[in-house]
Amino acid sequence: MMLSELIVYLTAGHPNKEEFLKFAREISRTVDAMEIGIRPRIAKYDGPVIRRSYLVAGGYTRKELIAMASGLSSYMVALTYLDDLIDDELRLMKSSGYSAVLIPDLLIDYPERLAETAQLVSSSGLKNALFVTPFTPDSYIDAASRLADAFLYLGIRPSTGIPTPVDVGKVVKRIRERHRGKLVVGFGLNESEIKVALSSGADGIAVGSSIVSALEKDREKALELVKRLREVVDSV
Amino acid sequence: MVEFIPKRWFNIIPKLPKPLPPPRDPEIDRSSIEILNRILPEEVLKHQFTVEEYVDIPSEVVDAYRAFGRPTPLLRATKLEERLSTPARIYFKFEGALPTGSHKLNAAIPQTYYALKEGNSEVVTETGAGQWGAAVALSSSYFGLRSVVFMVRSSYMQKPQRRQLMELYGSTVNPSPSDLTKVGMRELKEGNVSGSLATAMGEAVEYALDRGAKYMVGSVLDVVLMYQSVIGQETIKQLEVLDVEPDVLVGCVGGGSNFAGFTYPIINSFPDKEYVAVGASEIPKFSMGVYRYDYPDSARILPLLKMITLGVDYRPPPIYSGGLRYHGVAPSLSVLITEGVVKAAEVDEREAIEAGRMFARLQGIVPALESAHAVAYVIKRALEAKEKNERINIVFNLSGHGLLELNNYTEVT
Repeated sequence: MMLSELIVYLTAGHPNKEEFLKFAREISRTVDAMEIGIRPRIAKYDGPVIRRSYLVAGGYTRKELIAMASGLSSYMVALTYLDDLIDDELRLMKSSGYSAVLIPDLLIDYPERLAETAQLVSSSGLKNALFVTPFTPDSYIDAASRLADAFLYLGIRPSTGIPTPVDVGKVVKRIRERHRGKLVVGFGLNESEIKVALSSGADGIAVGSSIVSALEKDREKALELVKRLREVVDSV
Repeated sequence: MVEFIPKRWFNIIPKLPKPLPPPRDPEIDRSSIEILNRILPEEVLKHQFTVEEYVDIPSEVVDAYRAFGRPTPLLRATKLEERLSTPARIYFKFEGALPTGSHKLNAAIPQTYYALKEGNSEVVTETGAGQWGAAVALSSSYFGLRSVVFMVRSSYMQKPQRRQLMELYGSTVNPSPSDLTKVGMRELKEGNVSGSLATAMGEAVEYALDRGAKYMVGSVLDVVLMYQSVIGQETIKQLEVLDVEPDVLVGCVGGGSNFAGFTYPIINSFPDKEYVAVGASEIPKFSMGVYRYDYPDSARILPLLKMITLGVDYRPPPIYSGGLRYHGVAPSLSVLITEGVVKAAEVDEREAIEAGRMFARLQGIVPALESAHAVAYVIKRALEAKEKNERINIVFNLSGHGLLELNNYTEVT
């Protein structure tokens, strides 16, 4: 049996360049992949914790932030909004060692640009991690499923980190029924929801705001949290 | 009569032609989505965020729907057809048959039920003209909950019958602004005594936060539209029994809950028919509105929603149809309109009043002035069918009766 994957989200340059790099290296063997958030101009679908982390990570250009993560993990996913993404950033991501790109607003604000954007990402030598939500219609889940050669990422909650009540099992099953490839689930999951998501068919779990929030205060606490999450994911 | 009450609610989101943009938080350090967590019953929020095409309706809610007269009748307006000498056949779903006189009860019943089930003893809401407040008052008394309603003071004074109805059902009705909340006291101090829906909502939310009462939402949110889907599901069955396939489906739009409840299940079964959302010309959101993120409430309490909107600061003119005086259109309906699945039309108040009078004189039912906007459009469409000799079936939602607001018809000559 294949073990489930743990993907950890970090905001590039947060809480500062040194701590970010140190923490990322410390967890690189514990996690299967890292998602690196590149500060957007407008954090339109992020919750309070991630929005704050972008402010803290100020002082660098986007290109500096992209390059900062170079070689940190064997599987890195760049997270950026389409609003902010410019062509040569994709090339920079490739040369900095990223494997895939996740564009959370693509299927929300620019669904008509799905195929074109996926093609652009592919032609830069990167894979597509495509972001869907419980609000994504069936027809777009099917289209994203066909194009997601990295994985399909299901963001359970519309705003990161706000613990809105969601029936995680039902939401995961709906997507699982339509998607055969790798399915990663994230956005504000607590421990029991991680277990529900994995037992409902998710292949991996992505965790972001709880780690970013811990990292803001105490790197050791954040490290413990990652180890704990590894245990939870492996226990299912 | 068809004895059919749906056992599941229908949610259109998985079937939309374009993705529905999720609610968004307005500010860096404040989350209005988090406020929803504290004031809405958990199950209601779960329905809002767990998108499934069909959701089972608890048997207690089905029983309440039955007790209050669901299924509501689907009637044919034969006398109106005759008067218009149209080859079109005109049917209408009559939500005014419910005890409080409108469709609003469909969404109040589940919200009060879940509040009770989660151990609450009190619910609170705001109301303008009183349709939503009356629905919450009745469903609360049915389930044995206390209810508190903040009613816009100008309506409180001008519509004593609505207030009396809520009080008869056991509700505590406060004119808003009131001195029960900080929001209300601030307004009173500034001399804004006549009130507004935004202030009333602000008071209800503050009351919910301070006293632990659950807040009941009347329209716009997806979950409210889903609770209204009993209307359209019944209509499909009732048309089947009559062996009628609908061609044109019409409803009026304030926030969108009666229109969505009526049409969404039908859109799912008959995707290529003509669907028409009718607004008031005086509030030109369909012709002048912009599709963007905006506050659904002028109290700026709920999260930002992407919708067709005239802007949250838009001040609607004082038309009689209080239920249509809203700056936005529910997010899912905004998607359907921008994608061309639903056509939008606007009718002015004079046309609505004339159509409502004609309908009352021929069919007996006095439509709420909001619903009379749909009637006015139906009449135009039936006359167009006459010109083109189209033998079509027009079905519209008569969302409420106007018996408690007869002055709407008598004050304008």
